[in-house]
Amino acid sequence: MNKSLLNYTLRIADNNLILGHRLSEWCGHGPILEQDIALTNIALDLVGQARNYFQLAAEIKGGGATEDDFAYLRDVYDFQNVLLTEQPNGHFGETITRQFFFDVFNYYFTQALTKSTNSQLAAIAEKSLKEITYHLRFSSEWMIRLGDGTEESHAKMQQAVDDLWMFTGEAFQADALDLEMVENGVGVKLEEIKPYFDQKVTDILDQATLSLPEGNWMQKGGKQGKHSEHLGFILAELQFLQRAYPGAKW
Amino acid sequence: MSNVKWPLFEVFIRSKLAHVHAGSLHAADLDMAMTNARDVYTRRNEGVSIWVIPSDQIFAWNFDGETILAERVYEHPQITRKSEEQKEAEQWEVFFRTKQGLSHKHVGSISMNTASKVIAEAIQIYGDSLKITNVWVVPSAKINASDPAESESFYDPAEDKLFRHATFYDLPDEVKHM
Repeated sequence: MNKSLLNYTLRIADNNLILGHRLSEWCGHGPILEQDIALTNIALDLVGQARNYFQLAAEIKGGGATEDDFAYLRDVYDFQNVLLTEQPNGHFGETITRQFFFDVFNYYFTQALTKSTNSQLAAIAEKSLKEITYHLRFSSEWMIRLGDGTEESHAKMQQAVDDLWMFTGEAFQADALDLEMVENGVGVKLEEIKPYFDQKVTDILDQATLSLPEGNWMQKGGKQGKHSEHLGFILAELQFLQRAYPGAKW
Repeated sequence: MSNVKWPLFEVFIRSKLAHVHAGSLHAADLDMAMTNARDVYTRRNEGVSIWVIPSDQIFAWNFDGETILAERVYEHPQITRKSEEQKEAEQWEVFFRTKQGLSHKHVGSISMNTASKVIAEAIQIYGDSLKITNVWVVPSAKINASDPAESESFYDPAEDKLFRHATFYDLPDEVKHM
């Protein structure tokens, strides 16, 4: 079993699962019906993508492993999602800001992944890119409207950007696994997509009349299984049924 | 909930030959309406092209027994429009509803200078071959169509998401239009 390939795939799957779960928490609580539908629709897209990556991971692991094993039977320290995805929803503007930062990264990352020498990863990326293109449009439009909105919405968005910016660096910090996967042509060269990320963020924030905070210290640890206090609570909800009734079926 | 008063937009989707009315949604502006139409109305792969029209631009048939009148189907929460404006002739798109409970369907275009004249003309042209219970007309210039270049990101994803379909519900035979 190719452990590196497995972990690289799980990182992508975990990002989608955890962020998808966060968005699903909005179900029934959206500020207006159409946005409730939009957020939960995006949640479905992300969970669907997570399934594709988890199924591939199950294949790589072998031994009868299934997508459910990864989603429901691993604990916090085995998850490799970036910290950004597990941050709380907060108010609508905070959810949008978190989504926007993730979408910009996800768009360029997935686009690059379509060129992976691993044809299965490339295929999943190709399929996912269509949805991610839409997600980026959705979150960008909202950043602009809320940022360049009323005094109140602008203030709330600026606070959200100030709070979440420190979680955007992690995805671009290449660790040993990232470097190994780039070596064999499977992985994405993070330093190559970073300029596109920076440009897009600048473009949209300019239109939104928002600014980035000073300083460039970034949070990290998620990719190595060192998570914030939030992930434990997320998994408690996500995994409860499978843990309480192992092997449950209906 | 919120006190937000967003304008209403009507959404029409074409899956095969003609655009059919799918429903309406509230959005802050047209761009947002175009984006949201994808989430609200094409989750289950219902079409290849979307038309989004501000509801207050649509005129409906109002027959008082003598003359055919046109009235707007909706009033914008902030903008007051005049009841019917006389102007230069322009192209209008015509939608018919053939039976109560069904949706308005696009049938074609007619050039006239007022909504009521378009409606009258439409009924004259099509009224023999189609049974019409209601007519909607809107200036073609007010129709916003989805960008064909975006079709992929808008519609393809729904194709393989069978879990979004109500596949386990059996409809009784009497329900013909679902």
